[in-house]
Amino acid sequence: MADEVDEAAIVKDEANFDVEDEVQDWKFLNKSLASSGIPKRGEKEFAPDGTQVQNSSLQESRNAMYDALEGVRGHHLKSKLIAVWIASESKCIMPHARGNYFRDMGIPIHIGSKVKDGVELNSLEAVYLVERGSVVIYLGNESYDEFLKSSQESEFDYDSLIAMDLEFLYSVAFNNTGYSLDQYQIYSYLKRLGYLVQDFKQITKTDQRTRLPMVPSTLSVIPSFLNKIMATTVVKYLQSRLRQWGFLSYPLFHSLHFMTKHYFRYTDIYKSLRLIPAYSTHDSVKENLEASGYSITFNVWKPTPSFSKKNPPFPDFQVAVANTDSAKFPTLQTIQALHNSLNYTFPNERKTQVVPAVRQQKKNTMPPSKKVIRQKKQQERQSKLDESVRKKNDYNRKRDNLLKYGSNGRTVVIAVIDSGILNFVNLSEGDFSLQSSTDLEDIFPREDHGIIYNEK
Amino acid sequence: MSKRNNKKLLNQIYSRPLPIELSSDKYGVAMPTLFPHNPVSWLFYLTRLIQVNTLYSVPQSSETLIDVSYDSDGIFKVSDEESMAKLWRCGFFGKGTLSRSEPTWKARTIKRLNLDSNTANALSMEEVTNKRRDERKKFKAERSRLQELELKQRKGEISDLESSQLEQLRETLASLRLIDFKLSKDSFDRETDLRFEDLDLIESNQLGRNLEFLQLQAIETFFLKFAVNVIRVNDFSTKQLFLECCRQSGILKPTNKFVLDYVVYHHYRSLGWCVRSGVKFGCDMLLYKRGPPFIHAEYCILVISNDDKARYDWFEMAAKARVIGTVKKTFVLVYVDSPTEERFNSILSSAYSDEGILFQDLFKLYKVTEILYRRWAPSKTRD
Repeated sequence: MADEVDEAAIVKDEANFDVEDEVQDWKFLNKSLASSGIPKRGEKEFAPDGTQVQNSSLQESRNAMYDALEGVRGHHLKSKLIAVWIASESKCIMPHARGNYFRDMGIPIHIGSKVKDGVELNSLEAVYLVERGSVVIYLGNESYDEFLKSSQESEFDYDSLIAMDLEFLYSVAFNNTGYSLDQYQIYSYLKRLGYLVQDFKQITKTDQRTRLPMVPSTLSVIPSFLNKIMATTVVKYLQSRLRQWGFLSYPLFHSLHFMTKHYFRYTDIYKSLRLIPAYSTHDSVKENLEASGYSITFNVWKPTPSFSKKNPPFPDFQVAVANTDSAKFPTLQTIQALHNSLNYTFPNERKTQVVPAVRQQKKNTMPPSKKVIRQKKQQERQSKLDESVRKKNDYNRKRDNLLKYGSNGRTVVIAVIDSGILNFVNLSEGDFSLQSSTDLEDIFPREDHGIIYNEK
Repeated sequence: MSKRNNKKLLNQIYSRPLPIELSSDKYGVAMPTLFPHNPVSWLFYLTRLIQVNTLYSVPQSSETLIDVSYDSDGIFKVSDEESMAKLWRCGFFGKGTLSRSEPTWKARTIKRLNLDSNTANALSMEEVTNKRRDERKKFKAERSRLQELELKQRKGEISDLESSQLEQLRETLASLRLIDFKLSKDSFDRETDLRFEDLDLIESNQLGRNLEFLQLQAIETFFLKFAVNVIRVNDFSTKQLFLECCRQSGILKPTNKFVLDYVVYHHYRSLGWCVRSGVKFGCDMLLYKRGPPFIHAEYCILVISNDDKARYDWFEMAAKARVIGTVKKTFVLVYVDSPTEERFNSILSSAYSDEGILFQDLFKLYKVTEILYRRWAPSKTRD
């Protein structure tokens, strides 16, 4: 009676808790109001109780939000960023790019002697910066074009241009620019969360297919002439005789096999039951697949202080955008084609890769998080165990991770949009057979890592 | 019952992961280790092999086949008690029709009617669940009392006596939350009152008959017949059974739902997983590491034919993934490649000396590919 817990029970704990599921409490902006929190969603207390306590608490929070919105928004004249939309080329240029935004955004440009520290922004970047109030954008005209080309004038009066409002910008930014509103929704959501986002591009020089490590093909152990001998009538007669006398077992999957063969381990029984061919890791790299209706749109990195736009590291996530109106769930072929077009290094490449210099981390003054404490405790417990037990635990943990997250790390994120509502899905290559796992092989060399049964 | 003792007991009961007996368990013989580079070990191994083969008969050769009956109702039934127990204990096959999973009706009824003084004290799984629910109910009653008082406090109409009660309740609830559910046999009162229809069951102070049978899924039945050959379904041959199973889920074709399911079922069984139906979680199968009594299922399998005709949409997928995610399991999409209709039919209609070999050739033409589906919450992975 080990696990009487109802399996269907929804566990509400740290790992499942999503801040986004909660309502934002704006009272944090006004310290004097921070006495009582707003009712939490899902708890029974949220039901009407006949008093005004909850209502007034919510109203207070709402008012705090309105107060916050009423504040004057603006920026210093010195740090004013100006961009110009060049309609003829459907692009946006920013003659003087300053500030922290351009770590991942924009392509540096030089135009004549005027624009030296400028960048060219794509539609997504331009709309994002304008929408968050960081940039003022003007619609370029002929005189601005001339100003850019000419070498005399050094100042330009931007007030002579039409300042674009957001509506105007939206209408031109996603019209025949190669970018869509769907993409913008994903882009701006990830940017606002602090991720570094760029258009998808291959970071490696060549694609996966040309770099696939050669796997030595397993040659048939028995030469063909031996097969021929085995097929002769004499041998067949001998075999059947031996079987009758009980000296030779019937072949695998023959209905009499298990009645005529001695087995000493269940692992061997499982091995002899292996029958269904299964996808082995990287199989699809060998094929030329086409993704219908899908392509990877973004390279996404977790925020890191040492990000270089010129030499970006391997992305942490690679995102394809799909709208439920037009895209069905991808076929296997499409998923594999997306996997094939990922930025990806094979395990053999990873070992030779130069490990980037250890990032200088500021000393953390915050108390350690629960996660860190848990890890520490786990380590302490592990260190007390016997070497062989530790090895076994290590093996089991690694194997679980390979099963759960995929054995090779080829993962594509698909951002699904339904009328502006976003959902993100990770699709990874699974491999329950674990046929070629060097990680596990390093701990326990055996040929059947996929067999989950533990022999006594 | 301590956790360790419990585990020991479970290991003992469920020592066989398949209904096949090992020669080493039956005769206590073991094979020496074979070192490929040491010819002496080869010789040793070979002599031992001959020894075992001549001295001992293969355990499975003397086991009688388990009888499975199959009628017009389309249900694969196992009624013999010993067979029911064997199929459940050796690999968790089937479901007791009057029980949650393991066929425990008989034992439960004997206990309920107090027909055997020896077993009267042990709790069955179902009773444990009931008891847990009772305790939970008590907790909830306390909690609602607390909430009532809190409301009064908010309204400002609480008396001094009540506010001291409130403090007390808070403490009790906090401590109740900390206490793990404990099995205390003494506090559990079993109803012993006889129902009218119980009289039908009792013959001379004993339980007269077992009303329960073990029901097998089609894929389980076919696995037990084709893969390990421990059952007999009516007088069906393997091929007849196959055709019958296919008929249950549509027309005979390479992408018949039964065939696709079986391919996936066999794949995971042969990797040592315990595979059970996933209907409770909106998917086709659940994968258990050892079996339901040991550890929760960790993977939910959705079988998808890789022929691009019946595709799920994003909404169906998201619905399944949400259910599976909240119970902390991993969602696995298993795509099955199938042979052409021509190959499929030609193998099914060829003459084979043994039908096991026929199906071996047939299933070799399929292929499974696993894709792992996980929701990504960007707000959680940033740091």
